[in-house]
Amino acid sequence: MTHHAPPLRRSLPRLLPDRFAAFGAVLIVLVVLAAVLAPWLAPYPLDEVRPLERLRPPSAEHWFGTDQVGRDVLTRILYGGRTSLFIAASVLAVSALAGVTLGVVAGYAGGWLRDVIMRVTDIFLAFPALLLSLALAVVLQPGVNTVILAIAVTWWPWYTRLSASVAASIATRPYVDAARCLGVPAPLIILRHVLPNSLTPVLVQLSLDAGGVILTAAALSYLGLGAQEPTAEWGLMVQQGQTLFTTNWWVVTFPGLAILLTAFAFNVLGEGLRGALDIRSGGARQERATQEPASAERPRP
Amino acid sequence: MTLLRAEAVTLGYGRRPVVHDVTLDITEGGVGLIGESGSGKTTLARAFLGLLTPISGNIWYGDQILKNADLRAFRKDVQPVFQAESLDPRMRVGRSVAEALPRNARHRVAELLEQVGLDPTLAARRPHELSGGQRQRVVIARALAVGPRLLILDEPTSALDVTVQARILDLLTGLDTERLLITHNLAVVERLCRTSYVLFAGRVVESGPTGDLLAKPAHPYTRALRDAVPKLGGPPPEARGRTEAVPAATGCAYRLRCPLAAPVCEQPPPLRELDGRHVACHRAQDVPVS
Repeated sequence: MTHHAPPLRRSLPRLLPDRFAAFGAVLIVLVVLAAVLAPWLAPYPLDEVRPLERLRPPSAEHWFGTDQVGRDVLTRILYGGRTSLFIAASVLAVSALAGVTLGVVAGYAGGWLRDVIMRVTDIFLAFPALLLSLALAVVLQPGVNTVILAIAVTWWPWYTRLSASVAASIATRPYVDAARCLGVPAPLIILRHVLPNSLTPVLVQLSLDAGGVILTAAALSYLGLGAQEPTAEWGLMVQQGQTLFTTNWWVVTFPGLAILLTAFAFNVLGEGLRGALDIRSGGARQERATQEPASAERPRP
Repeated sequence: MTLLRAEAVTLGYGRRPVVHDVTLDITEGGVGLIGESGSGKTTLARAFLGLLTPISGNIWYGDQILKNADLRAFRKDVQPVFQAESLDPRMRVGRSVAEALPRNARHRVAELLEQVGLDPTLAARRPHELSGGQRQRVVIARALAVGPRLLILDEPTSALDVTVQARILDLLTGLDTERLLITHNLAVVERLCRTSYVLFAGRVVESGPTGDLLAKPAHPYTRALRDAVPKLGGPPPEARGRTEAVPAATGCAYRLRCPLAAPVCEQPPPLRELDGRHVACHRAQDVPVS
């Protein structure tokens, strides 16, 4: 093994020639900017209802047309991005925090502690993710917070599995042994050495997962279990417009495209990151080689 | 009294033993542990560092069994020096050294770096920004930070080129600590260790004063190791026996490679005294002297 710069930083410049990944990154930046700047970019106020202008097709006044109560679809898509991205960021933050914490502890400690944590993880993994989310969403009040909780509950175990296998390999590195020989307490070793060196594959997985979370959130909203009117949310917009698809295609098509493009952008960025880390960097390849293959190829809900 | 002693230790991972029934004293003047990859050298070193508990037998720290001893005192007394690659790649090297120091002594980082011949301004660099030799010096500085009495050196020079190796060896010889050196480089052992143990397949096959051991090997494996060292201007090293054969599971583990193997070698050889050293070979008397 030779010394290298931290794998992620080394691979970022390498991402630039990967046009797909760069395209994904640019698209994500645009979506995030559009969501953040929605109050300034949106041509109309969020909840302005104009009954006389309902179901207008795309035009110079309403680029993406209007919906069934006369609200501007473009405005709602811009604001809807806030909801969808907020859900994605929250789910990933909660899942990664819980999952990685448990994972690095399991991976470093090994033995019975690892067994207990991994068996609990297996139990959560055994549930079909969408069904568990559905069940939770039914039990709790529908809403954005419920969607976040329901998806996070089914999402964290993947991070536990991923980070446990990476942490287990980091735990055998000589610098961890050296820290143990210095009498550094285990929690500090995990924080200083194991966690920072386990994060690269987790970041890749986060990027790959963001699209999946947005799709799942949209699916839950579509089923009426997520965001509720008058919240602007892409899945909800598709659900409410579905009966109009044959007559007023724009009500469904534009929010559908927003979901598709955002999920696509996160996926290509994630794939690009994974490729850059896998193929061209020795350290990261070594780390990934120890991962359980299921973690990358998991079935999507 | 020796600081650390292994007494009939058997070590392994899970239930599979890798080191069998080894007794070893870390005496004054440096102790070398020689053997090929997979012979159990590093496993033994991990046990001496308290990172691995013996399956049977004991590691003694002074007059206490290590697992019952005061670990805080032990960690101050015994420190590892691993290969140059044993620094956290994400951590600035100054922080790696500071990790060994109490919070109120962090200012000693510069002094420690100077002690191992490094410019203190390198503390702000990350390992990949240093050369192999500089990294090895950082590793040594980190080990010295706690003021150890014994250094356990695991292949400290094997990843370095020869000129850098020589300078690191100078540094190590100048240190005021006892040492257990693990290596497959006989020249390094000759320079740093008064006593040596040769390990094959997890067993000590020969031990004694390093000079005698290398000048007149009493075990065919020690001789093979010595003869395998290429010499400038000399003929290419001669391979004896089947050098790639796996250790035998019964009897003498070396017999499948040994040019002197005889039917008696199917019995496990006892470790016996011969000319001031210990050797585990039925045919030790027949090992050619030259």
